[in-house]
Amino acid sequence: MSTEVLDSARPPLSQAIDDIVGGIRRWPLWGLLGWTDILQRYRRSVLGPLWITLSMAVLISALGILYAFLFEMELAEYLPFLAIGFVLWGLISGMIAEGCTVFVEAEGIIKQLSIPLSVHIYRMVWKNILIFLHNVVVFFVVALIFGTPIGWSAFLALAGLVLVVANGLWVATLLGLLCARYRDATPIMGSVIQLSFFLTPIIWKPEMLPDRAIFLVANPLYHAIELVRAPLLGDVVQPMSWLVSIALVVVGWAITLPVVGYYRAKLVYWL
Amino acid sequence: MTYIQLEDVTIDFPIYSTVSRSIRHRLLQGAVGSGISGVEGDKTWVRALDHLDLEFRDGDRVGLVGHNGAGKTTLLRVLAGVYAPTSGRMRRAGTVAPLFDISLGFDMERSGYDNIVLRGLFLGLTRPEIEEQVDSIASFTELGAYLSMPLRTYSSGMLLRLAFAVSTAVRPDIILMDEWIGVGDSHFIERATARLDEFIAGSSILVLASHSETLIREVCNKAILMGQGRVLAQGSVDHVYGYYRHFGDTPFFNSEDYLAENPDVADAVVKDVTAPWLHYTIHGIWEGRSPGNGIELRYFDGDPVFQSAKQRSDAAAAMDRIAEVAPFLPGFRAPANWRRPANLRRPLNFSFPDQGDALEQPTPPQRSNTRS
Repeated sequence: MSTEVLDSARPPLSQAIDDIVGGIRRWPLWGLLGWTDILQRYRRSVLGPLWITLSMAVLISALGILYAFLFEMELAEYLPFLAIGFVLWGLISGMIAEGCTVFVEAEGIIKQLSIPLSVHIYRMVWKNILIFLHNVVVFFVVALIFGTPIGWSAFLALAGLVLVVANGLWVATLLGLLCARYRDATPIMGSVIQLSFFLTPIIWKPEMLPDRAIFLVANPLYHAIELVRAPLLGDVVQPMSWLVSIALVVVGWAITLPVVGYYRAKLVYWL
Repeated sequence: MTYIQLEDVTIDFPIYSTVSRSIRHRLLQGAVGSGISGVEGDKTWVRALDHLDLEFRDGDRVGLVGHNGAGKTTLLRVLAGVYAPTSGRMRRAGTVAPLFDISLGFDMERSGYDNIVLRGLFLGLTRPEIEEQVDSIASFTELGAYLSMPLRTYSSGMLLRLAFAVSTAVRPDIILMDEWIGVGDSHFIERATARLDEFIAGSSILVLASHSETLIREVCNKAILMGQGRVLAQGSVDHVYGYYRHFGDTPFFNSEDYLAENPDVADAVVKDVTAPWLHYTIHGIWEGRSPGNGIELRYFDGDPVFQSAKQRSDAAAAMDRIAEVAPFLPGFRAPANWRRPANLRRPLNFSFPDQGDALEQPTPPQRSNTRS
C-alpha cells in the first residue's frame, strides 16, 4: 500500500483533480451504492426494478395516445418520438434535480469520512443511468411495434449519451455545491426543471414551433436530447447540437474544476 | 513514515440560520472576550479550534482530554480530513481509519454479507481484499446464518458486532477514535478486546478522545488537554492529568469565589460558554483578574517568576507561583478545604509589595471537613 499523503495547503486545482479522478477509482463503492439506491426503492416487490420500466411504459402509452390525438399525428410517428424524449428527459432532469440534493443527502458520510466528494456525484449519476437503461427498453419495444428503423446511426446516439452524461456530471457538481450553501436554490431549481420540460420539445415537435431557430438554439436541453433522439429515430443530428454540447462540456468543466478546488473544503461547513 | 502535523490550525464554524441575528446577539453577550465567537460583516461564526500547533509521530498513542465542547471531536474530524482548516495547514501521511460512527454506510435492507462488502468499500478496501477477509469477519461475529438475513432483523447488539468486526478488519496507519468502541455482550467482550488491541497494535498512530482517565492511562502514552479549542497542556499522561486537576481543583482557585469576584465571567458561565477554571487559565490570569480568596494579582507585578511564566503564557507555572505565595499575601482568605502543609515556607525570592502587611502567617481554618 502506498503512503497516502494529505496536505490541506495543496493548490485548489490539484485538489479538485485529485477529487474527481480519485472518485473514479472508487467505482466499486459508488457502483454498489448506486445500484443499492435503486434496489431499495423496489425492495420486497415481486417485479423489483422492472417497475421502473413498467411505469414508464404506462405513462408513455397513455400520454402518447392522448397527445397524438390532440396534435392529430400518426401514432407510429409520434409514440417513438415521445418515448425516447421522455426517457432522456428522465435522465437529464434526474441528474439536475438530484444534483441539487446530492451533497445535502450525503451529509452523514461527508461529516464522518473523508472520501472524494465526486463519489457522491458518480453514485447519483450512475443510479440515473441505471434507471435510464431500464426505461430505454420501453423505447425499443415501441420502435419494434411500430417498425421504426434503427440502423447503424444509432451508435451515434451512444456518443451523444456520453456527452449528455459528461454535461450532467458538472452540472450536478455545481448545483450540489450551490444548493448545499443556499438551501433556497433547490426549490428554485425544481421550478426551473418543471418549466424546462414544457419549453423543450419532448411532448411537442420542434417543427411545430413557427419560428423555431432562435427559440430552440438557445436551449441546451434541446441539443442534449437531439443528440440521442435524432440518431435513434433515423434523423440527422444538426452540427449545431454537437457543437453546443461539446462546447458546454469544455466550458462547464473549465468552470467546475476551480470551483470544486476552492469550495470542496468548505462544503462540509455548509451541511 | 506516518505522521500528522497541524500548523496554526484554526477551525471556524459559520452559522447559517434564519435566526442568526439572535444567535449572534447571544454569543456576543456571552463571549466575555473569550474569542470563541465573532461577527465579520454579515457572517457569524464559532471558533472550534484556535491556532493549534500539534504533531503526531510514529508510535504515538495520544489521549485527548477535556470538557465537552473543548474541541476534541472537532480536532479528530480535522485529523480525519473531514474538516479542512479555516486557516493554517494540516499535513498527514498514512492511511486513516476514523471510528466515529462504526455503523456508517450500513444498508438495513441488505444482508450481513452485503454490508461487510459495503462497509469495507467505504473504508477503502478493494473487492479482493474484502473477499479475502470476509470469512474471518463472519466467523468473528458469530452471527452464523443471520449473515444472510437483512440487517433490519438484527438486534442492536448484533449490529454492533458486525460493525465492530468490519471496522477492525482494516489495517490503517492511523486510528482515530471518539470514545472507545463499546461492545456490550459479556461473552463477546473478551474477544473484542483482544481484537481491538491487535487492531491498535498494528497502527502507528492512535488518537483517542475520552472522558475516562482509566482508559487513557491504560492505552495512551501521551495526552493533550484541550479547552475552548486550544491546547492547554500536552505531554505525558501524568503531566496532563496533573495539570487538569491542578486547575480544576486547586485550593487557590475556587470556582464560586472566582465567579463572585468576576460577575461578567459568571454571566458567561451561566450561558454555558466557559468553565470558570478554564476561563481563568485562558483569560483571567492574563487579564489580571483576581481568582478570589483575597488574592490580588497586582502583588505579582514585580515578581520575576510570575512575569516570566506570563511571558511564556505558561498558565501552569503562573498558577503554581500564585499557590506558593498566596498563603503569605495580605488579605488572603484560606479556602475551606485548605490545610496548612507542614513544610510551608515563605518563598524567599518573592518581594512583597508592602512590607508592612506582608508577613502575616496564615491561620488555618477551624473546620476540618477536607475533600480528598
